[in-house]
This record gives sequence, C-alpha cells and structure tokens, in this order.
Amino acid sequence: MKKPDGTLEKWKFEGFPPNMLLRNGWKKDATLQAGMKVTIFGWQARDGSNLVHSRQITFEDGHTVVYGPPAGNGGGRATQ
Amino acid sequence: MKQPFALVAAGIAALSLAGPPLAAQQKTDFKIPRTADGKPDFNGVWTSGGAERLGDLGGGPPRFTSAPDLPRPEPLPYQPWAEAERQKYLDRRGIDDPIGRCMMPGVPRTTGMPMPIQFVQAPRQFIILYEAYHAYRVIPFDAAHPPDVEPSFMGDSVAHWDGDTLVVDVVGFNTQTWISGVGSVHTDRLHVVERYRFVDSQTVVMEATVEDPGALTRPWKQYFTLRLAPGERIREYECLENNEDLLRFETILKTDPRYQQK
Repeated sequence: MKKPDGTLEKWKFEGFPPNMLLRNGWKKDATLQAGMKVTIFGWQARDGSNLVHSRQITFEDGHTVVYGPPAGNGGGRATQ
Repeated sequence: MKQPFALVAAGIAALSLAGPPLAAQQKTDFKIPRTADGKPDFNGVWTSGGAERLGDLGGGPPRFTSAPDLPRPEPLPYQPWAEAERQKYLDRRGIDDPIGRCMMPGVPRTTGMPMPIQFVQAPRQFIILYEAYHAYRVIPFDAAHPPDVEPSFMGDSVAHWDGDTLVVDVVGFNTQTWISGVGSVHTDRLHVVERYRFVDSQTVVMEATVEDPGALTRPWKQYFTLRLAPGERIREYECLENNEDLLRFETILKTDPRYQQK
C-alpha cells in the first residue's frame, strides 16, 4: 500500500475463509492476482498493526466482492 | 484468510422484526415435504439464519431473508451476577468470545452461524452437520439422555415428534459457550429445547427455548430461520488454521491498558 509520502508499506487483509469466499464468487488464483490495483474497505486491528478485517474489495473495473463479515462484536441483536 | 467470526460476526439469527405471534400468521397453503414414514422431511442443506447478518454491500437484493413476523427477541433475562459478567465481557468488547478461539459455539448459537447446515434424517435418529466449526449432533429419537453425560460444548440431544414439529431437548453443557452474543454466559444447568417446523415448503423456523435456573430469571426464546438451499453443499471450515486472533488477543490483553484492570 502506498503511503501519502509515496513510500510503500505491507498490509495484511484478513477475510472470510475459502468456503465463504467461494459463495461470494471469489475464485482461487483468479479473482485476486498479483499486480492488481484494488480498494479494500475494512477495519484496522486494534493493536495498531498493519492488519485489516476486510469487508469488501473493489476491483479496477468497479465490481465488488464481499470479502469478510460485517462489523460488530458478535452480539447479534438479541442481547445488545 | 481466516476469520473465525470472533469479534465481528458471530451471526445471531434472531430477528428484530416486530410482529404478531407466530400462530397469528402461519401459512397453511403449502405442503410439508414428507419422508416415506409420513414425517416432515428435513433432509437437505439449509442456509442458516446467520447468513442474514452478512448483509449486502452492492445494493442488490438480500441473499437471505428471515421468515416474516417472527417475535422480537428480548434481552436475556439475567440474574444480577450473570448480567454483571455479561457487562464485563462487553467492556472487553468481545475479546473473550470462545468462538474466537475456535471453540464450538454451542446450542443454539451454532445455528446462527452464516455457514450452511445439513439435516440427515432417519427413522431412529436425526443428524445435524454444521459447516461451522465442524460441529455435528447425532440425535436419537424417543430416547432418554444417557446417565453418564459429560459437560460438553454442544450438549446431549434427544428428539421426539410433536405432530409435525421436531423437538430436540438438549442438556449436559459445559460453561465454555455463550448463548447469544458477547458475554451471554450460562451455567451447567443450561437446558435448551429446539422446535423445528416448516413455515413453508422451503423454510423452517427453529424456536429455541433457553432455560438456566443458575443464570436466567425465566426461560428465554430465540428464533432462527433456515432456508432450503438446493445446489448448496457443506464445505470445509477450519477455524484454527492461521488463527492470528489467538496471538493478537493475548498481546492486547497484556499490553493494552484498557484491559489491565480486568
């Protein structure tokens, strides 16, 4: 990922396991390939590391794939 | 690429839709699929209600909708000590969620996971295969709970028919699961009765009645929608592989001042 000052930084994006990525249309070795420019929406890890809980990925042609589960604290609706 | 749904999406399928009681709006103009012995036929792969919480980002039609007009879930009616426990876990923002450590979510919480569920129905037993957490339940019909039940994550289940409703009685839980959401603790006196019934030919509603005289002041109900998913199959879900949360949570617990006094 390119920082505002132009330098590059490594980030890690965590998402669904393969079973759920498949159901969202994600194909191994095809959907995401080295060199692609993508935009990922997600949340950075609370410990401040370059690790992201990913929610959605947008490809250069504009199409999106759900990448990971929504935000929340696991509480569902019943007890919050 | 693993995401064990720890802090994020322990998909609880209970609905927030207000509506009339179930009995007031049951559909009757459908045929319940039946097995050769005349019982309702639950065989198949079902999309579990937790799928609803995955949401839709693209603005398209929802991929999963719950059965309409299910009763609105109420807060868990906790005894003061249990509510205090729950608050403690909420203050820690779910970091202690057992499923973040890849423990099986228990009953009824596993039904609320967003992965499919397969029912394998036979005259003498009913088998539930959950894609989530490799959980399974082999449930005998018309049997008593064995006398040597050991406390476990998924408990001990026995089933019987109440007309066209499949009733599953579950006891024998350990205290390492949460009932529904962050901090929803229980004791080993937890007792769950699940009632599965068709609300149309492709949809089952499961009503879970949760009792725990050690933690709750009265029984509590939660509803789950299951939709038949033709063409779907159970795939593999391995929570533990590359589960960085294990390390991350421990690091946070040790280094973040917010958690030091806990």
